[in-house]
Amino acid sequence: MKDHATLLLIFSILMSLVLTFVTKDGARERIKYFLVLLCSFIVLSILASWLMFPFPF
Amino acid sequence: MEPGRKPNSQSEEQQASMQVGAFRTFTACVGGAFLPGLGHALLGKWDRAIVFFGSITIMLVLGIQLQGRLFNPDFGDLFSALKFIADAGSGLLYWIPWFRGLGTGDPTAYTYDYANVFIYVAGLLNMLVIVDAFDIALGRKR
Repeated sequence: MKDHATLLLIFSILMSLVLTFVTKDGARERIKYFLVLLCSFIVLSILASWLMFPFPF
Repeated sequence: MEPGRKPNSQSEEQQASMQVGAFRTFTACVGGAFLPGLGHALLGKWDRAIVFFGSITIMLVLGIQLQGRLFNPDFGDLFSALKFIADAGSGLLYWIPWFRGLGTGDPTAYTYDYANVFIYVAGLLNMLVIVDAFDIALGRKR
């Protein structure tokens, strides 16, 4: 469980879960918001890492 | 005003209900600062309480397991102070392992930075959760 991808996934799930419950009420709204947040976390992290790939450090 | 009531009895009732509201808000915020989700549990928001407690606990435990460091109360420089404040936001979940000598951290570990982020974010999320409990106690949120 020490690889970055798994840790990123766990972090994204936990973070999205807390932010969803703070922000939204109602099961349907929560599920939708949770999925949007989770996908945003994962996609944006991969995008940021891809953009940083050419950096020499 | 109801018939037979004195004009000042209504204001006394309002004052009493305000005091109850203030006490409820105070206990929710202090409870949340002690243990993630406790503030919501005191307000009867059990679904939120369980999710907040579970998520924040998992984050902090993972952070410690992955060789992260629980920063000591050190106000010598700004960054140390900020790291401590972020960590200590988790309340008892920070203080129990800290007193037991856990979370010393290993800067050479592959996961050290990641683990520290888990620990910081657990504390910062709990601060957000306390603000949420405050809003619910005041009636600004359901």
